[in-house]
Amino acid sequence: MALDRVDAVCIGMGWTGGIMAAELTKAGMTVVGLERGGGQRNSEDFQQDHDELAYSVRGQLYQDFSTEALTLRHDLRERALPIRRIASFCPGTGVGGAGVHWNGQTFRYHPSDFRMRSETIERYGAGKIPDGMSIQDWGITYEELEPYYDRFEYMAGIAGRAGNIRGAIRPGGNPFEGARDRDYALGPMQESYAGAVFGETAAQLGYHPFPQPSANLPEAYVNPQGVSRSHCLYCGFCENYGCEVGAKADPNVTVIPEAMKTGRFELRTGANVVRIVHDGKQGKAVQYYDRAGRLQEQPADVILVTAWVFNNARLLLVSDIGEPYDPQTGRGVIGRNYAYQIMPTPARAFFKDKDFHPFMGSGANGVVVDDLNADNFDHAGLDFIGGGALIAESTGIRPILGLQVPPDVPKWGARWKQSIRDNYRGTLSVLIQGQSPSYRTHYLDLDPTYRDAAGLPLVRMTFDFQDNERRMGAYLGAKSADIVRAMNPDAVAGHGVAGALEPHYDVTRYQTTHNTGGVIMGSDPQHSAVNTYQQLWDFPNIFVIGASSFPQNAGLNPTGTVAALAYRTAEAIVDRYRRRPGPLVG
Amino acid sequence: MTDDRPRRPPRTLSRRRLLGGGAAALGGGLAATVLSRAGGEADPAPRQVAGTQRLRALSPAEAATAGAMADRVFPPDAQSPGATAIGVVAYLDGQLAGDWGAGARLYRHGPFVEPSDSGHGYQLPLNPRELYKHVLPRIESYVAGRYGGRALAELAAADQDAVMTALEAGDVDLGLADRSTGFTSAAFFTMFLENVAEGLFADPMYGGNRDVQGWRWIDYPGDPMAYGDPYFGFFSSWHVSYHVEPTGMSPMDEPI
Repeated sequence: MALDRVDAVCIGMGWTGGIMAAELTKAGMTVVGLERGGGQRNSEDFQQDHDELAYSVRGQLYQDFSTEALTLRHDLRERALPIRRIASFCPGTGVGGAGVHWNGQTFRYHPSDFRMRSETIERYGAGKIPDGMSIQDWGITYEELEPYYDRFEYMAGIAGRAGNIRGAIRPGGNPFEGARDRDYALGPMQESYAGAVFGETAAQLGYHPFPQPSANLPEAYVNPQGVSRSHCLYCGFCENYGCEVGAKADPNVTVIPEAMKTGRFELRTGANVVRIVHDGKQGKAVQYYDRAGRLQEQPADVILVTAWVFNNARLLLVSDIGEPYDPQTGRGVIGRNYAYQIMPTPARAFFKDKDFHPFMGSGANGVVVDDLNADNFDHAGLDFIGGGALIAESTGIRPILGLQVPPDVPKWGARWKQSIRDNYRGTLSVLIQGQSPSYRTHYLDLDPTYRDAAGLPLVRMTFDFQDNERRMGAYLGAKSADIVRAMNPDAVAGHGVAGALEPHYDVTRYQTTHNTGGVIMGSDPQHSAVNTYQQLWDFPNIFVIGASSFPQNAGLNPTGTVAALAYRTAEAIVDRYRRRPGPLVG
Repeated sequence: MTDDRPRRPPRTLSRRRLLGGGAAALGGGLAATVLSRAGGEADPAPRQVAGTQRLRALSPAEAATAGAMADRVFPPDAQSPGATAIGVVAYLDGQLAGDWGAGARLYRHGPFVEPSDSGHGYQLPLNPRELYKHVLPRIESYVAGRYGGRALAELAAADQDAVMTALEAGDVDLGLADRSTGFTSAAFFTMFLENVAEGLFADPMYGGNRDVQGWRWIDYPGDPMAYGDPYFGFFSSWHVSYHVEPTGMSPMDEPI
């Protein structure tokens, strides 16, 4: 049975669904939000969530892989097998999505990230791009996106120290960031001892450390939309947890209440979308199973695909929308350029006489070195392109998953027992968040064998780390090792240890939840699925919003860019598309 | 959504005791803050540890194998009890008997295929409970064959460690892998180490980390919010000593 038609329907109610719902309803449009998980959660729902086992180990807030997983093969020849237990990346479920359990690390991508292909060719020549690497320009510049970054940062209350305001480089900020129109909404978080040790050492070695930009408020904040939130308590339970005081920017305490307040937003939970109904030119409605298991059909003028990266691609593929990508011919666009990141073995410094209070922390409380990221450094003599950020985080080290020992200590036994006692409070790790660019053979399609609980094929990911990233990891690892050695610790995990990656991408180790691509943006329909407004080239009333639009990944956390793109899309729908439905480009 | 956490009563501000020198352990004004938050409540007597735990998933023999292994991971010594006395086997048994043991959050559709390459993770049709109940007797068979019919728990520590080392190296045939990329004893050993860490360091309400002895071992304070002691005022005080009696989320640290 078809339900009443609405102006727009969101499929998925995380950050992108929440931003779209807020912006469209405030402009007078009616929006239905479909969320397959549970309902809205506020800070009172997280009063008793300081439970590492339930949240970090068992993944209480993650997508439930027993009903829907993915499959992985490392190359085109390998047999794809299901990722049976979630670990390497952790999409969320329920209202707020992964925006509930994220850490709040909120960056802008570098100007060069948006034109990685052109930048590489201009600076080093086309031969610098390795065979098979399919990086491309985004079709949008950093400057075009800047106002929307600003909008998100002030809405969410991002705390940091600007490095570049309108071209003026500011001490203590990131000199490699693109020019921003004004400073962050708030000054940076309190600095941790570990961050200070890393920052001082890195600066002595000539790097430019700066405080990690944070969506966890250092002080109470009222945003331009009038939403007020209290400050962070530094309890050390951000990533994998909901915030019990609402200090962490989360769709449930920001954009979704904005949408609710208009009276034009209806949120339906337990609604699992299985198909977008269309006529080959326009999307007509979305079909979903409601909480009672009945198939429902929601017609809408505008269809907003706002699920996680994998389901954005999957919904198009199962609905027969767009041409699936074929890695043999290079034709087709849906599923193209899946990318991820590398987070290789970090360098660590172990101190006998330092107490970093590792249990205290906040999700985006770190000191970052961006000198070796993107094209911020000269790659002329190097055998890779791209780079990564080096980060000393104080996000709260919890004991089940967080204990570290020097590399010569066994993983069990009396020495291990003594070593965890000796080192818990005095260990400083330098994480590497590196780029994993896109390749012709890295893509998403429908698995031919494995299905979800609703009977739909799982997404099959074809992905592995390539030589470029292995060399990058080794290079960043060596640089990190130099930094930890300069701290004069009592023991190190340094040269020969830091920067290593497994023989193949390993789904059992948490790396990042920064999955990208599959429905990528660009300036022409041969090489991209959506234009820079995240509007499908072939179906102008369907917008596919999220990190699925990234042609390749960067070496920084993606949420700031995801949100900026969503705000830009929302503005284009409200100001232009609504008046004159049709393609927004070309 | 799966929630296999035990139910617990609403949180109250519970007693909190500073270790050692009390105010002397902290600097001036901060010490006063901590003490005022901690003060006023009597320190309860140490909780009586139940002597015999009723097993829910493991047989006594299986529990003995798991306990002997866990005590080689985190051995008893003059400074602290070993893993079993801290409740690791009780924790493991409870988890195996619960949702996790039954395969909650695990994708369990076939076909089940042994990976031909590394990086694919767990691919067996067994849930964790079935897996443990398959593997632990196999380990005992291996031990019996090598050590004259004796059980793992009866061996000298050095011999137990030799068994652990063989497991870690993937050298014990568990009957679950045809090749090195399958579920070898090394894969089981990795999983076991994870489960032992959970039993040592999860909130005491799960039955491990008895009397917060796991947290006490590493000087981890537990749940700072349990006693209304957020770190906001301490975070920038890098060199102020912060050592407190750890507290779990459940007010009395009792398994519920």
